[in-house]
Amino acid sequence: MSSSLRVSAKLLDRQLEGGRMSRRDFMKFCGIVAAAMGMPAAFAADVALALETKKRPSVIYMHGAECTGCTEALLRSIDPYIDTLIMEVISLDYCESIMAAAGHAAEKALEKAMKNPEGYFCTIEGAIPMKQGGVYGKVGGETMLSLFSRVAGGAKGVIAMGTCASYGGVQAAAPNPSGAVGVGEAFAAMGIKPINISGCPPNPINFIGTVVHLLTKGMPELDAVGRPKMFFGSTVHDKCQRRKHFDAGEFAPSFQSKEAREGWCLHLLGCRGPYTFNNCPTAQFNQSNWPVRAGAPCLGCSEPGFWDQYAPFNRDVLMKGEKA
Amino acid sequence: MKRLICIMAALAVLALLPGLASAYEVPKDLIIKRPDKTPQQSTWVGPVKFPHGFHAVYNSCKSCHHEESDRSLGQFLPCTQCHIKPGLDEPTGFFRAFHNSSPTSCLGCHKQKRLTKQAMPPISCTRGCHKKQ
Repeated sequence: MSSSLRVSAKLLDRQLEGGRMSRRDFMKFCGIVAAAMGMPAAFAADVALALETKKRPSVIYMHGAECTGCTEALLRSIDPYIDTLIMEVISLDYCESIMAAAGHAAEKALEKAMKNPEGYFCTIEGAIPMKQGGVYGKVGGETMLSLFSRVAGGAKGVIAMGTCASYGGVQAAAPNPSGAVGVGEAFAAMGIKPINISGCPPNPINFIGTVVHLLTKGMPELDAVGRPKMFFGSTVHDKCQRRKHFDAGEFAPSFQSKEAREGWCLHLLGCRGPYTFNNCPTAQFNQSNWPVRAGAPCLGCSEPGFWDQYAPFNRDVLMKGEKA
Repeated sequence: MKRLICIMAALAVLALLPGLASAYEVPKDLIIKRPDKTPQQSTWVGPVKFPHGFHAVYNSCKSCHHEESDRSLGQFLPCTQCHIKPGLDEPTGFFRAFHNSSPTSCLGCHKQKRLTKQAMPPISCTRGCHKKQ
């Protein structure tokens, strides 16, 4: 069955079922999370136990300078659907994009969530403008810098969702008029070390898997730039479906070519896979597909320094002295 | 007084320099070859010409020879002394020794130098280290 057919079939199933996740689907989801975490299939039972028996962890989801693409990716999560995720797995107590409340009611919800006696996890999506005291980004009249420092400062753990929150991303691209930086850099003086779920957008399974790891085993092991090693341990190139063509020296000459359609390596068309650490080829987006398999080269979106570092795209990375 | 101390310190360093230079005589160019027991991964990637002397000028020995200490100087010379295991996923294997995100590996260091805008070392596979003819 093709990926799109599979998605349609699942949507149909869901309409017939009336929304709630079946036990079978739930166990399947736990299995997917366990696999993404690099655990054996038996670990799915532990995941299920953690998600069922523990009280749903409170999550406050803040939006900084961003495009909401990371939320959009999370909303399109299939296993599980976003409503299942926020109703049965986590307790999403504040998220501007999907909460019903607005204005003062939303601010009250945030203050209430921050007073939760059991603590909360703070997820930040988007970079934080720093220039001139952070006036370039405000929520409810308060600068993002001030608001996020309050929320993140009191959290049990901070997750930076997406490349902008992790390392600045597109917002920090030259000339960076608002002085945007990632969460780790903005709050380094406060001793906040976020778990960076980088990617533009990151795979929702990496976010869910990190939450599950925090619930079952505590803090995941992080790499040199703060990403969980279980998801960002190998390069996109290592597990790429086009890898065998790279090894055979078969490089597609253009996007329109027959070779590109036949799955030849996109290295000469600007693929940044060999130096980008992420699990796109194995986790895939919505378990269906991912850019390189679909014919678009990797842009290196989960790396620090994306965008400036790897632009211009669609050509091999610049060498010393080369001009764009 | 401060100036005098500075001058003395500078003179001391200058006096030591010839000694340091002769103590750290390093090979200029090296060829990094795949260990015999490691299966060939691709048809076109061959031994890599590595300008060792060039790297030694810009980096401390320990930035690559990470197991070396003042006591063990000269004991950990080629990478393949330890990194010989085959397989792309082997964390300390031959492939990963040169391609990981840590700054002790070629790729990790080249990426970091670009990120911090210190230099523009190559990271392209076919135009950097593994030149494809």
